[in-house]
This record gives sequence, structure tokens and C-alpha cells, in this order.
Amino acid sequence: MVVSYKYLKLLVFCLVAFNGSLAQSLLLSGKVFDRESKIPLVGANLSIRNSDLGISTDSLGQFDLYVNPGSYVLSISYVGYKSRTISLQMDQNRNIRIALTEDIGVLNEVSVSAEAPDKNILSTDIGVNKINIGTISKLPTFMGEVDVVKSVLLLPGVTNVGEGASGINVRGGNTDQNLILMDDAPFFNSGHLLGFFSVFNPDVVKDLTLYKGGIPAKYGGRASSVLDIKLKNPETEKWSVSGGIGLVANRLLIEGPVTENKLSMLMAARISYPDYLFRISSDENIKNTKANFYDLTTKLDHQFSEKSRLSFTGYLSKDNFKLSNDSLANIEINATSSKYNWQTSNATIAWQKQISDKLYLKTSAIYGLYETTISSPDSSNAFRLNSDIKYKSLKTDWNWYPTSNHEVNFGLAIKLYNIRPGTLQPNHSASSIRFFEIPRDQGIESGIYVSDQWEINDIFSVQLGARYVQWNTLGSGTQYNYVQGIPKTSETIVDTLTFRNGEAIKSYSGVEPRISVKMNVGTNSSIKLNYNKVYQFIQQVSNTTSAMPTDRWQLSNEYIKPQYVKQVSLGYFRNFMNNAFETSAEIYYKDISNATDYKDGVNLLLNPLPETAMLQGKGRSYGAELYIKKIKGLVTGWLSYTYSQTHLKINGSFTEENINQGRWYAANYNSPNNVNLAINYKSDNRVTYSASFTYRTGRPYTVPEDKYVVNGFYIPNYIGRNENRIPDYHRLDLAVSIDSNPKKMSHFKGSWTFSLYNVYARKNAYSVFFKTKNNNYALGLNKVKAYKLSVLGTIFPSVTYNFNF
Amino acid sequence: MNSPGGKFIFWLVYLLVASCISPFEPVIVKDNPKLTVDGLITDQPGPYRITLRYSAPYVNDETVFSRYEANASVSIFDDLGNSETLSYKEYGVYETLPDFIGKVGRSYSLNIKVPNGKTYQSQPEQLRQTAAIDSVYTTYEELHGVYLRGLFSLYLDFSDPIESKDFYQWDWVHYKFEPYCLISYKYNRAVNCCGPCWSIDRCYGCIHIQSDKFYNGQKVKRIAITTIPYETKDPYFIIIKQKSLTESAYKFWQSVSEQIENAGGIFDKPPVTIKGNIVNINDPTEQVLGFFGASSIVEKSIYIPRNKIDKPPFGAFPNFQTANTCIPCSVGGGFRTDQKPVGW
Repeated sequence: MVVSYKYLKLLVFCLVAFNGSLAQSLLLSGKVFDRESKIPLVGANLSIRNSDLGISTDSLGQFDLYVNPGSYVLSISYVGYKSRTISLQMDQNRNIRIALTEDIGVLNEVSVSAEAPDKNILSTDIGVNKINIGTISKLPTFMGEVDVVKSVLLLPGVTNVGEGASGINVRGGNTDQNLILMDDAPFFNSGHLLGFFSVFNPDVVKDLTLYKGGIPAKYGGRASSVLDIKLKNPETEKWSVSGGIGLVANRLLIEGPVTENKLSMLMAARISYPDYLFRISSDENIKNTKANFYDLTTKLDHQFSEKSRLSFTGYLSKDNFKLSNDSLANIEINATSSKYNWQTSNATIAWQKQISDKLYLKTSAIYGLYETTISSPDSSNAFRLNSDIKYKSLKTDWNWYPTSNHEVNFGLAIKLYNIRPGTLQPNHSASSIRFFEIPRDQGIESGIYVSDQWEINDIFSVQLGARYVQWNTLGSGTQYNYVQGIPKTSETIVDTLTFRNGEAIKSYSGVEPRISVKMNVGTNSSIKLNYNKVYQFIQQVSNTTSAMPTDRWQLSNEYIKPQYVKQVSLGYFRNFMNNAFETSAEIYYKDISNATDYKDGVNLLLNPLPETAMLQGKGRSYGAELYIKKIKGLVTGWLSYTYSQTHLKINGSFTEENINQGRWYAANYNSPNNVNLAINYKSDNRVTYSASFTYRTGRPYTVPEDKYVVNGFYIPNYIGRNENRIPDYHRLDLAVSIDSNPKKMSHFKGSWTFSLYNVYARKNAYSVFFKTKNNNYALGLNKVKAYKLSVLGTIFPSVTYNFNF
Repeated sequence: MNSPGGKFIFWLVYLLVASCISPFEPVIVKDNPKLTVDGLITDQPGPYRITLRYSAPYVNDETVFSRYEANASVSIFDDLGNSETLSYKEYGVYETLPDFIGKVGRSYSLNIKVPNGKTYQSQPEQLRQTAAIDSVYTTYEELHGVYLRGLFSLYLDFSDPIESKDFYQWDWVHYKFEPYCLISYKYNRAVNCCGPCWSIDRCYGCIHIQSDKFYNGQKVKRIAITTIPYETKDPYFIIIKQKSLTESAYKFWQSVSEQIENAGGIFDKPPVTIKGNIVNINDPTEQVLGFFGASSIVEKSIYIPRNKIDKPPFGAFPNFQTANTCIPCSVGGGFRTDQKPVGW
């Protein structure tokens, strides 16, 4: 390649030299580099507007160009970067330095990383995957919406129960065991429109990191994984607008400097309008379904100096979902039409300061509010059921580099949770519903941590870390005492203790070791070993196949013990072909304590005594993950295979408190074999083809053993939870994106993305269920049928138009 | 919506939301018959029937009516020590004597001895007084379709007592006087019934239950019972029943209702084992299916005056040519009766 540039340069030189014989030529030389990393950009295109003159930068990012004296407009473009134009007055030889800014938006498929290319080998990171938005935005989508959370499902060790389900299962963890952070603010629900789309606007996301094994000591609070989503910093050079038009939602992003080199900001909005799609249907139930969502993200970044900056991130999202006909049997009110709302309001203020060359500080204050409402307008039963979670947190994280081979992190975090489990109130003057409320729960989680990343020598490095956590369930509140020796029910309460506001009701504490060891084997491979332990003091209470966004959250208390996970993992990492291929093989074993399941047939919503419905036991999960990733060249992507098993064992003191007679049983989301493939092929500067493929074993379900009849109802008799499997899941998606011509001089750039979801229209099973015909009693034909439900059982084409200027 | 694009989007969304349900060949499980008990005692005149059957493998084509227990000795006893022995009829059905009537306030248990020596007993179920029905009324709504002019919605109001935890079940029976016991629409002919005859319609497959958890002590309005088509101007006769349930009966029927309505959806609960109230007294680990209940029942019968609607109903019944013979009413099986319904 370098040779051809030289040839081109020579050619241009010759042309210019020929011209130069007619007039005096001046030399315009310079260098093009990445604004942040200062890495030179090889092969950047420079052209002079209204002329045929153009050149590419060489292997050092440099260029020389001979021009006649005069005024010129120079355009500089580079794939994955924002193009720039510079006005020049050529009255003498000039040497200029041109910084280009990475285009985080639609064009970013090339990421220039400041990290060493073999970081995956040299670092102690194990069980960690990082994806930048460039990769995510090129993956095929469902209905054209670039989905940050769905991209994680293509990583080894990550599954979900099916399409439309909210949440992800990481290495056998439940969906509520993932700490999902966006600029440090936690999300209690990551799905729009139930779980079909994710709540994160892809226009403002920079990258995401999933920690499923070696969770750094600075994170705590959720037992299985951390999904850390970082927003990009606002553009500081000039104002720009970008956006997109899709089948489901429209997006708009405005960003730019408020004051030069000091304050910059971005504001992004995404608004959906799927109602029109429902209205086309001839089915009354679908026609009257109403669903819409929006989300707003804003970030302000103020740079006091090179060494100190303050940033603010604000996020607001709202979902409305109205079913025309349903029965809310689970809250014991019969309703003909119910409306579900859920909304997240988060804010983060972070102050970053470089105290010295060796000491960095980041302090953040975080506020989060997650609210849900279920309501029904039927006059006799009109009700509104509200619940919410308030989250307030203060944390400070310090990085200290005492010597060149130590990096010490330490800090502390305080998180305050305040939960309203449910307030039911009448919503109409004719309603018979009485006000009913479950009192608020409150708790405080404090954590302090220290960890040292120590490069012992060229072979060994270790990450020695520990986090100490303390949990206090706080008043005001009521704690019931039950008769000892029999199962807890509302009838066996013997004593009621009341606590004043702020009084400690129950406390738990523990030390969480976070230790990783790395040993290099030869020049391009390493072996890593990790042990970690994480406590979790908050959990989502849900006994449906997939948790509803409106499902209740519960804090640890006297009876509901904190869950904790101990994980050991071992990995072998090796790179090939000058780091073009990264490969890894990891095995893990997880021991889950106080894993939660539920008694058969209990109601959880508005249950004032959740401890009478919840059961806690043991869980275990183990598996192996093989991963190969190609990071250089025109074809990039990855292939992974995962084998995993997750089982639970609930063996209480009484038969009523056992599941499967106290034997191990497969978790709902246990799917042992899992293959993922994601490929991008960049055919030229404008066109990228991409494909993704997923295969996984069908998840477990329960088969009825018998049928019987009582009072004219044919009833299936289910025994033995999760002992069979639904058919395997597999799906291929394809996409092509066509970017605007990088040589085009216009400020306005548009790009198209065409996607095909489920290309071979496989009717993947979401579930298998059984039905007896109950409407034809006298015929006595109680034939039963088994059915397979497929949620997205056909091909979904979509098109999205994106623009920026 | 005639453009191809519109049709395309329609199918796209239809498939997205309605998703698709297709038959599935499930795993065959072994045959392991379990005793099933089905019976109810009320404060209304008997006889009360207890049916003993055995469960059939689920995916088998066999009906559950083919296996029954004909040789058990069955008795009902109350908390005062009174006992009533049932006599065997047919197809696993055992009956009380006609003069035995359940009393409000008593707790009843069922005792079953089967020939292999096993003894089964139900938990005691208290026959609790249900609240009176305050009123039953309808509203009318005109439809915009072509088959039906309009629809009546039938509602019920009652007053829930404040002092007790109450559980309710609603049910209805509709009787229609039938001049013809056989109709051939194809040949426009009909055969008269040999005497007065009424057809019976019920809400098959409906479990309409509620707890007073969220309206204890209130006057409860507009409990939706059913809808009635405006197809003729003839009055529509319907009997509405309100039953009391015990808490365990409520939980049982609620689980049944969840189970039979489970469509495997994203937010459906995974199926669970439904626990009845009958146990083997020697081996509590044996699974016994079914429920023995005790309920008090209040009824209200009304005629819905469909002639008060101004606009005429769509369509009219043809005038049939009648034959000279007649067909007895009883030929309709459980769907017809020659007994005049109470309140007719």
C-alpha cells in the first residue's frame, strides 16, 4: 500500500512539476492525525476544492502537495472520521498539522485505539468484552433500531429467554443480576416496548464493556455481570446535527461547543410511533394496542483546565403500552383493558481531576428514579397501581500510579435505595377499589475498595483487589415474626416489630475478593486465573417467563437474604498473525448462594408478605467459552461457542418450600450450547456488508404428565419443573449499509442501512404450551394439543436513513 | 391500505404482534393414573354428586371419562360429627340422598375408601354465606358490524361484608323455549318437540372468580357477567348465580384459570402443579387430584327486554315446514330440559 501512495505522490508531483514550469509552485506539506490519540492517519484523502488536485497521506500520515499561489479550500477526509475543510492562503511554503475527530456516529467502523494491540494478552482482564458503537451500528438490526443491549447477546456466555424478553442472562445469572450502567447511573429496566428494543440511544453511546468474569473491585451490587455503557463526549470543534429515520423510531442529535474549548454539550432524542403499525391490523385486539416510547439524553462537559473537567449526564425515557383486552388476574382484579407505563429519569454529575502526574480522581453524584404504573379505566374496577425505585448514590474513585508497574485503584460508594412496592388506588368515582398500599422499603449499600494492578515482571502480573460491602435495611418499616417450625404464611405471624424512619432493621456485610493472575506463555499468549465474589442486596420479584418492566423490586431484609456469587475462571489467550486474530478459551464455575425461586402459584404483585412467596436456595453454573475475533482487515468480526449449564436447588425445611422435591433442576434460561457469529465486510469506502448468526439449545420447559377433569374443566397436571426442552433456536440476520461518498464535499451526509432479521424465517420457539378445549364440554372430547409459540417467526426487513451535517 | 407497501407492513406487524402459534409434537410421558375427585356441596337442595375418576396421560387421545372408580365407599361428614354416605350411580358418580342439604356455617369433609385399601380425605371446607345480589341490570350498545345490531352487557351489584375475607364465583344459565327439537336449515324443515322444551346454555370454560382483597366492605358495582346478542326482540331469560368460595377453593380455581389460559406468552407464568384439597391419609406424598368444595349460592333470574330497542334486529328466522311427528325434548341430552326453569 505504501508503495502505491509513493507512486501516487510521484505522479502528482510530476503533474505539479509540469505545471510548475509555467508558474511558481509552493509546497504545502503537513500531517494528518487522530485528535485524541495523536496517532497519524495513513491514507487520509486530501483534495483541493474546484481542482483536480488531490493526495493521500503516507505511512507516517504525511503529505506534500505543490500548488500555485492563491486561495484554496482544502478538504480532508478519512474513513471513520469527520471530514474537515480548511481555507488556506498560499503565499509561501506551508506546513500544517490537521487533527481529525473520530466519527462516533454512523460512520465509525474503524476504531483507532490507544490501547496496545495485544492488550488482551498482556492485561489481567478475563471474562471481559468490549464493543464500540462502530461495530454495534454495523450489525444487522430488528426493525432498523441499532440495539446496544441486543449486541451483547452475540457475545459468548450471554443469552436471553427469547425475542421480546427483557434482560439478559450472563453466565447463568438471572436477568436482575446485571448491573447496567450508563455514565454510572443504574438502569432497572433496559427495554423499550416490553423488551423488543433497548433504552439506550445508539447515537450517543461510545462503547460498552461487559464484565462477566473478572469484575473490577470498583463495581459492586449485582452478582453476575456489569454492563458499563459510556456516552461519548460532546463535539468541541463545531456544531453538528445528526439523526435517523426508521420504521419504528426517529432520532435527532445536536452537539457542539457552547463556549470555545470550555463548555460543550449534546442533546439526543429518540421518539417512536409504532401505533400506526398496529392500526393497520384487522384484528381488534391488535388494532387497539397502543405503544410508544421516547428517550432523551443530554450531556454537558465543562473543561476547567487540561487537568480538571466537570460533566453532567441526564437521561429521561418513557414507555406507554396499552393492551386492548386482557385480564390482570395476577393482581386479582378483572380488567378489560390495561395500560402499562414505565419511565426512567437518571442524572449523573461527575468531576474528574488530575491531582498530579500520578494521581487521578473522579467523584460522582448519581440520582435515579424508575417509575411504573398499571392502570385500568373500567368504571367499576378502575384503578391505578404505582410503584417506583429512587436511587441516590455518591462515589469517588481514585487512580494512583506510584511506580511504572503499579496501578492502584481505590474508592468508596454509598447507594441509597428507596422502593415503593405498590400503591393501588381507585381511578374513577364509581370504582369499588379501595386504597391499598405496601409501605416503602429503604436500604443503604456502602462499599469501599482497593485494588492494585501490579506488573511483577515480563511474565507475571496480578490484579489484587477487594471490596468490603455493608448493607442496612432501614426503617420506617414493619418486620413480622413467624411461628418457628412451620412454613411462613400470613396465618403464622406471631409478632410485629415496627421501626422508626432511618432505624436499622437488618444488616449484612461481607468481603468480596477480586483477584486475577496473568502469566505470559511465549510472546503472544497468556494464561489467566480469576476469583471473585459479589453480593447483591436488591432483586426483582417475578415468576413469569420474562420479567415485566412493571415487576416489583425487593430489598434484602430479615427473611430475604442477599444473593452472592463466587466465581472461579481460567482462561488461555492467544493472538495470531501480528494480532490480527485474538482468540481465547475460558472456563468458569459459579456458585450462587440464596438464589431465588417462587412457590407454586403465588401472587407476587401487591403481596404484603413477599417472604411467604419466595424461596431461596443454591445455584450453580459452569461452562466453557471459545472465542475468536478478527480485528484487522476488510473482514472483521467474531465467532464464539459456549457450553454452559445452570441449575438451581431449592430444598427448604418443609415440603411446601421445596421445588422438584429438593433436587437440582434446570434454570428457565439454561441453554447448554450456544454459537454466535458476527461478521462485517467492508467492500469499499462506502459499503459494508454484515451478518450475524445465533444458535442455542432450546430452553427448558415443563410437560404435563396427566389430564383430569373437575367441574367441567380439563386440567393439565404438571410435575417436575423444567425437565424437557423446547426446539433449538437459530437465526441469521444480514445487513448492508451504504455511507455517503467520503469524497463528496457537501456538509450534508446521508447513509442507508438495509437489514433483514431472521433471513430464513425460522419459526423459533419462544415457548411450548398445552391447551385443552374447554368450550365444548358436552362433546367430552378432551383432546389436548401442544403448541409452539414463535414471537418473531418470520423475516423482518427494515430500512433506516441516517444523516449528519 | 390497498398499496402493496401497506399490505406488506400489515403482515409485518401482524406477525410481530400476533406472533405465530403452530402445533408441536410433545414428549410422550408414561401412564401413571391418579385419583381425581370432583364434587361440591351447597346450601341448595341436593342430591350432591361426587365423581371419582383417574387421570389419563396428557398427550393421549383417551378421554378422561373412560377411567372411573365404581367400587369406593364415599361419605361426607361435618364438624359436628354427622355423616352422610353416598350411593353409587354410574360412571364414577356417587350421590347423596335428596333430603341431605348443606348448612351455612358447617365445615364438610369428604372421606373415600377405595378397594385396594387406601383411604383419602379432604381438608374440611366451610360452607360460608355469600353476600346477597343487590341488583342485576343491562346496558345496550349498538354495534357497527353486519351480523348483529347490538349487544347487551349484563352486570351485577352486591355489597361485600366488611368483617370477613370473602371470595366469590359467578356463573349463569340461559334457558330458551324451543318449539322445534330438530331443524334442517338446508331444507327449511323442522320437527316439533313433543312437549314444552327449553334449551340450556352455560358459560363453558369460564372461571369467573374474585376476592374482596381490594374492595372489602364496599358496595361493589358493575361486575360484568356476560354479553347477550340483540338478534331477536324475544325476551332473554337468564339465571345469575353467585357462589361463596373458601380461600383454598379460590386459590385452586385461580391456579386452574391461570393454567388453562396460559398461552405460553412472554409474561405468562410457567406452569405449576395445582394442589387440590384431598390427601391419602396414610401417604401424604401421593398426589391426589381435584377438589371437594362447599359453597352457598344466591340466584337471581331476569328477563332482558330486548323489545325496548327501537331499531329492529338484523335478519329473521325462517318459517319452517313442520313434519307430523315430534321428537322428545330429552333427545338433546344435557342441552335441553322439559322442566320449566325456576323463575320462568
